[in-house]
Amino acid sequence: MKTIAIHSYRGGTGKTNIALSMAECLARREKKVFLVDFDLRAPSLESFFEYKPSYFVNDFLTGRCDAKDVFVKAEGFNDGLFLGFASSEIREIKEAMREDKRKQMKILSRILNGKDLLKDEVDYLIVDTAPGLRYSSTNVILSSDLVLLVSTLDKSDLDGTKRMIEEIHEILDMPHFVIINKVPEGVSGEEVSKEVGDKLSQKMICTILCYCEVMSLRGRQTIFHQQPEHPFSRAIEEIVDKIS
Amino acid sequence: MKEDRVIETILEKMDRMLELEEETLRIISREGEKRELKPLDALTLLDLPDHLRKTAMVMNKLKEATAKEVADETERERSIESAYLNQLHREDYLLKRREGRKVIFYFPEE
Ligand SMILES: Nc1ncnc2c1ncn2[C@@H]1O[C@H](COP(=O)(O)OP(=O)(O)O)[C@@H](O)[C@H]1O
Ligand SMILES: [Mg+2]
Repeated sequence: MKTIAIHSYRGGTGKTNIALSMAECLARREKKVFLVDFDLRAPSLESFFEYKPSYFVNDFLTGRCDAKDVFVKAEGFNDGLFLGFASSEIREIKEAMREDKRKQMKILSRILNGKDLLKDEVDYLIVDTAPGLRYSSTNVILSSDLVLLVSTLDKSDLDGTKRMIEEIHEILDMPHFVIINKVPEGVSGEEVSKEVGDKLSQKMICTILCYCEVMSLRGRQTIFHQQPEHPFSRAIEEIVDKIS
Repeated sequence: MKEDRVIETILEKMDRMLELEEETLRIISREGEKRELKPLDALTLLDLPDHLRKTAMVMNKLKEATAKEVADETERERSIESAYLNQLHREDYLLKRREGRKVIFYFPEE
């Protein structure tokens, strides 16, 4: 099993769309994929589906169920995609955000043990995370085999991504790649490289343009699911080629 | 192999010596029996030196283990893990107890 964390410095860079599309892409390639929403502060995977799960990731983290109990089989994805949702109840969100060190230590331990339980049955565990450096995302990064950092061309986004790489991924010796998303139409490849800078360019595996069609789906469906030939979908295929 | 057994015995003896040294130091410095353990949460782990982090992560998963069990996970030498575990113990991240010939490192049950 390969564990891939989808992370970013700032919110709204396209993590959830990319994570779900990659998961679907791998499932179409006959892989068994577990996708889990670890953005405990603002869960959003649920808006793409209509499942009512018996257990949420939050239940697993607090010891109310086992890792496998969280996952629901997604219908119509080649039988290869399983989803773990985070609870959007405010009470659960507050609890998950508590920065209590001992509690967070227990959570990290649950994640490491949960991964061990899944590892023989699953090809890819894809984890959608909360942006920035908080416990929920740091726990996931520490438990991953690969981190994909999604950034836009915004200066603060690029600067923050670079700092995170220098202070976390490089120190941990954690394999990582950068995806630049929402590149405005008409910006040349050269311009992108210049904005992104040498350091991030070396780690960049894909640039995705900004498409109104993605936005018009309003977080109810991915363009990947709807239009496999769309340039966004082709970019996802390209990312999956590079990481698998 | 016979040599392995000899090395194993020497390592055990060294462990025991380390323990005695620690006990002596503790008595001299009159530290209380119950020391407050420091948590090994994700952000603390990020600040640990590389070599200790790997050991600490495995302990976080196993909760209770001998140096041999940790070495099986990290794929490093048992003697190296023993040194790292003892360092984590000295820095108050882990507890340690002896059961016969075995030294067990652990976190307290809540
Ligand atoms: N390449 C793109 N072009 C246009 N809109 C995009 C693109 N990628 C993501 N979006 C939009 O950006 C918003 C945030 O995307 P989302 O996947 O929820 O990001 P995150 O999970 O990082 O917060 C959504 O409205 C989504 O439709
Ligand atoms: Mg998201």
